[in-house]
Amino acid sequence: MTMTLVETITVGSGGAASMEFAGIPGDGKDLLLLISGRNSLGNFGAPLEINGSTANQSGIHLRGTGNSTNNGTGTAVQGFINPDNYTSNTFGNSSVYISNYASSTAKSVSHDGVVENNGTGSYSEIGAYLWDNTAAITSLMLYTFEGTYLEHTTASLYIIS
Amino acid sequence: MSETPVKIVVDLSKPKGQRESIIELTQAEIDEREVMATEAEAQRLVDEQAKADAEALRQSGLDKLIALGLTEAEALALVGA
Repeated sequence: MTMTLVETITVGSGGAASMEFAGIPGDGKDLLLLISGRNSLGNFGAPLEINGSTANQSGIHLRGTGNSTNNGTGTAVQGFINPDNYTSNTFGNSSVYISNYASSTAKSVSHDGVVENNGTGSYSEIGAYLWDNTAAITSLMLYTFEGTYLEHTTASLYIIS
Repeated sequence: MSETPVKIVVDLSKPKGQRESIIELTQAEIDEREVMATEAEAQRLVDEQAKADAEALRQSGLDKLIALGLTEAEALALVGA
């Protein structure tokens, strides 16, 4: 197995509404997206648009809050990042693993992530998702439900082959 | 800070060093984001209310157990700390 860093996006001053990897080559087996991020508002989500669409996504997540757990379902494949009301200058981190991204079957996606709010609490989350589409994945765009990605947020795309 | 939100696009079909573009959002994209933000805020309020409701139920149950004669420690052992 070979894991190759394809590209890293780093958000500059002023922030960014989205970060997109386009023209993903189809010669790998799986994709791994690593995110270190912070949202300008109170949102934990780092949702993914796949091949220019948010359709046909579903999933479930389990979240640990330090002293309890909760779970939920959703219609967006997503990572997990710090909101802006958490400790200044801290970033949440997440991995999103997409299996068989170039295949002609539906794609399964797994995710784990952690956010931190020093001295107050932290959350960790795992998720399992489905992109119910048979097209090969050629683009991934991290967008936000609200707010923007703050400066120094990074997203790195790896191809596993 | 830029007045207009931007998106960062990396086109992997291009050679390294020529891949990244920083593009201002169109008005349609900005409008779409505002709709999503409104939906996200509404969902957050729903989630917060659900959490408050669950905590109120838990406390109500705890109070009733104590009223039945359990100590607080015994009640907490049943419902979880």
